[in-house]
Amino acid sequence: MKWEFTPRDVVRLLTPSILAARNRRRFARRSDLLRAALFGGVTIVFSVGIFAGFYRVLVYVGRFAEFTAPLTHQMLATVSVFLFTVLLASNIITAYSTQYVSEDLSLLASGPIPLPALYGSRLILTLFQSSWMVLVFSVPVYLAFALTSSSPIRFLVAVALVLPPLLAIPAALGSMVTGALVSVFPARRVREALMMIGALFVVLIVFLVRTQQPERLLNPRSIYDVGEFFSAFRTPASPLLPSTWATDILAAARHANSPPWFLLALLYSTAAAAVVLGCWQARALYWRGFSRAQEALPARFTALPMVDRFLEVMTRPFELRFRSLLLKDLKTFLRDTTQWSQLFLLLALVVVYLYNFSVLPSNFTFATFYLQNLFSFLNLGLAGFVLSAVAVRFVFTSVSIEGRAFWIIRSSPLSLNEFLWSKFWTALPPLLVLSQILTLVSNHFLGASRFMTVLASVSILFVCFGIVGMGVGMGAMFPRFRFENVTQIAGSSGGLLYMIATSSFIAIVLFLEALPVYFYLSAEYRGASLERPLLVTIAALVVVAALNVAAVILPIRWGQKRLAELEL
Amino acid sequence: MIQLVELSKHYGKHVAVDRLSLEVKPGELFGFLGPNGAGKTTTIKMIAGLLHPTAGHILLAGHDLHREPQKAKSVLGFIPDRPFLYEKLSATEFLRFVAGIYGLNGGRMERRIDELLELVELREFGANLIESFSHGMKQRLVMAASFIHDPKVLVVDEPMVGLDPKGARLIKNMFRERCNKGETIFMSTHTLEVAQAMCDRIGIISRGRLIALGSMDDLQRQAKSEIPALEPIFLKLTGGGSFREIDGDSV
Repeated sequence: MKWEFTPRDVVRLLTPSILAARNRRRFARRSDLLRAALFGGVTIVFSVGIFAGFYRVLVYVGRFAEFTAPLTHQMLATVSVFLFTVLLASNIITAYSTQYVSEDLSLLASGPIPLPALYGSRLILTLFQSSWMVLVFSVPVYLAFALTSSSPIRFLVAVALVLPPLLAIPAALGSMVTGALVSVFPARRVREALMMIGALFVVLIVFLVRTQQPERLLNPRSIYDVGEFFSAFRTPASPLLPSTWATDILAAARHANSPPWFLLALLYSTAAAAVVLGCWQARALYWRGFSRAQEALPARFTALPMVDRFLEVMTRPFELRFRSLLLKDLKTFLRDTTQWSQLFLLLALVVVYLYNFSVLPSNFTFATFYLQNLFSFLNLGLAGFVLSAVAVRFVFTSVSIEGRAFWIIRSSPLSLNEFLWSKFWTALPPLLVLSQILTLVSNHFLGASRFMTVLASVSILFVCFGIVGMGVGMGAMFPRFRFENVTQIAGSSGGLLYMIATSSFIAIVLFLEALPVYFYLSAEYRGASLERPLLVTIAALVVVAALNVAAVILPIRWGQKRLAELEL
Repeated sequence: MIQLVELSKHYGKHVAVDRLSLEVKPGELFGFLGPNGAGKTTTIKMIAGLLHPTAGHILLAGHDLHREPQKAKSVLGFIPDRPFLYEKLSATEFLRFVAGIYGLNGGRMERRIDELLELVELREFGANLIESFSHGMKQRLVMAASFIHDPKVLVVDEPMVGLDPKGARLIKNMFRERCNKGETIFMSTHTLEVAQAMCDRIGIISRGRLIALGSMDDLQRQAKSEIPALEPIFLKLTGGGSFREIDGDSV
């Protein structure tokens, strides 16, 4: 019997990706190594944080003998369902690019390649691209479970056995969902829908987790409500779900019980069946979907004449060159559905941020005047950090987002100075509004004094200038005009450096304002006059303002120099 | 109108353009030819202000590109070989944007945009987003954009790539008309028939150095070629003449 394809065919199709990865390492420049080191560092910090959080909770839960088993089981179930769901969503989105619009597909599709081999290689690529990050961050979680279990090695072996099928099943299912969508709807519509679904999915998860107020678990007073907490946090545990089988296998290993071989066999056979079913579906639908994905239909959500007219009227008062750039940036932004999904995420971030303040207990002993205002002061740092996170996505990227069309700006008589300042003034107003919402609303929830509210509002106003100036300037110093997705720009080494720079900048501002806040709180405590704290505050604000002027002008100047030297 | 003075470009130890000097006069259509990797695109990118010369000067309508970049670029129109554009803008919006950054607006500009879209046969697609355009349509849109401010100097890199015969004919006519009006065109191309038919003078660059310059007659003399066609002259001058013709039987 002659096989249609062999595993060697699949490996051959994966060779370009493997070689590219090897060459990236072999020909890495210093900037690449720096980026890898930064990413590695951030990943380690996050992993340690995740491990510490889970370990602390598990040790804590372990103190309550009668609750321990059901609680850890419930936690394991939550982790499994979370992993499975995130992987499924991630695979659906990734499969679209790896299996239908990837640039190398036209070469492969025109060659005499057996479809199962193409499907297999693309499934592996999809699985890898969509799962590696989830896998990396699941390691500290499972490590925490292992170290708090009676048999750590047995648990880790079980994890190693459970993860491969738990990754393969969502990859195969995700590919099937995308395959079905692409074969029915035009590719661009599918892309828009997937972007929105992805964003809504993340928003939903954030809201679900946040509204459960998991911090209650660490509050000693709430241990009696833990049962209630977990019943509210109940995860779907249908015996038909692979995540349930995984949970049962891991729970058995955690208690050093003999492994449920049947469930393990079920997990592996389901993974194999999902891959085979996916291959069958690909035979029926793949070429049709691939063909549709090549059609260049215009995106649906792009032509909104009312919005265009509104923008044109609103920008009429501005100087012609600035107006041209502003209109171009606004229209491009509003017509790019990937930006919308990011806006959803931003909105969720702001709502969760403010929600955190709204649920702060007001009748606790620490809610004194002193602590309320101290929190208000520290909130300045948090709000600054949120602004930086928003700015790295929308301001830092504003230069690179010109993409390969940047030649139009460079060959035009528009100076780089005009170009960068236009980017600055375009980004500043929305960030200013956001900064004021973040500080005023959170201070209202905190019950901060008028002095602290005004100080926070004025400070964040200044900081906003600095953050935007650094965003535009550093965006120009570390441009990345070749990208597939805007998030790649924000996630670049320049983006990380920007986050480090803005965090340091906010820390300096907090340091400068610590003295006036100290004087103010001391004066209030002693019932003394506020004249001296006010004078110190004004002096500190003058220094902060000067610092922000420097944070605007210098990075933009350096960025301009860098862009002028840049060879396109 | 275009003056290149001792222009050089080095990439580390590699010399892409080596002390290139030439002058293109007003109303002249100048063809810039050379084998792959000879330094054509590097030269063109330097003239367009996208690359910095390692040494030498570029003067456009008398303005030094390094010392007076804004003035020099305001007389320049550039058509790159690959039309990367703002995909989320419509064709009309894109032209309006380009007009804006050249400081042009108003009713006259709107009429000019209509005329240019008509000229490049994209009028019916004016409201469509660029992302839905084919390569050839994008190339024609870039041409319209490069004409919007009536540049004195037009620098074109491979204008015929991706164009259908009708589009190619359109470009040839447009270029000739613009030169007749006194505009200077500096054009790089691999299509030797086009260069031979259109260009007043031709410069041939090889390994970064200008190896031949002049009209067709001048080049024929320099190459000591008996055939008055650009292809054998080009192959002889660039060392490609030693390539053996391959016909169907010998393969």
